[in-house]
Amino acid sequence: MNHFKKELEHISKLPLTSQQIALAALLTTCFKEENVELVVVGGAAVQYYSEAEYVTKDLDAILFGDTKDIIDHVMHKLGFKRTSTYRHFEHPFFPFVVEFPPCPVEVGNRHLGKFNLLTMNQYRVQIIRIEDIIRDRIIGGVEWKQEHLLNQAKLLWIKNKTIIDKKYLTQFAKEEGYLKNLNKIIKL
Amino acid sequence: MAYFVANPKATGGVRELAREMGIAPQLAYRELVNLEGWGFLFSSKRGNQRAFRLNERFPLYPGVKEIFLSFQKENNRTIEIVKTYDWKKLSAHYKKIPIPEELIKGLTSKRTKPRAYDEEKLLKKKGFL
Repeated sequence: MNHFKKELEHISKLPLTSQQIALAALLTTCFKEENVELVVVGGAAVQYYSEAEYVTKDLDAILFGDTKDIIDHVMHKLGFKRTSTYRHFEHPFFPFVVEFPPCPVEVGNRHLGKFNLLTMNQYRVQIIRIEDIIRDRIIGGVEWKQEHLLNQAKLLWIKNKTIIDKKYLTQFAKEEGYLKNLNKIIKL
Repeated sequence: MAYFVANPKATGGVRELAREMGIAPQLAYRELVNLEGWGFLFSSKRGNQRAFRLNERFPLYPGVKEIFLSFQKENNRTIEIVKTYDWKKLSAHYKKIPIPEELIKGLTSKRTKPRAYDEEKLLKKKGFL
């Protein structure tokens, strides 16, 4: 218990972006002890892949498996409190909430099984791939007419164009009818 | 349901099944009686007890079985790591790439609906919860 408190205190003193990664890594370790895999998705992933040009107010993490009882057990062990009857947890040390959207990790209606690993000193976090988070933002932006999501896709493209798997992105765009939108982003 | 789909030949009394499922006997009894009411289970007298077993001819059984098997498959899904990035190196790489000011302004939008946890706080404040 004390060990976790010390670790959380240490994490809370890091800069905000590092805080989220380090906390995600600590959660990853705790859930792994219960044989549950954790993958960071959503706004937090955009933040990690853009070096805080965009700062999210919640850390979205998807857990693999039947985790209803495990979530409460692990989060209470770390001192997090459920903020609602829903799936959000908060901790007095952190200015953001942790949210567990339901499994599986999906973009559009395709389930994902391949992810990236982000390391920071001793911390290790499994995170949605850059290409998949761009796909997610394009689909959200187009289907829900949310301009800011398309802007996030542009930001991710500009920051990561040298390391992105362009073939994978183009194939998705061709198959699902987002080629025009992707081309607009790729031109940047 | 998940228990009987995974163990279609299982048969037993309330206490026995509750122990197998890891739940309280009262809860098990309530659910077993419900499932029997729907036709998903049969029960027969076994001494002083009622023994429950699966009704494999229940019309929705194939559908129910498929749902639970897909759920199990999803739970066993393995994760594959494609690339590993060192965040400090990645961060240094990002710092060298300038972003147009107008793009930064357009990265967020004003929420029209409060987040779920804010919504609950609001409802509590107004005395609805």
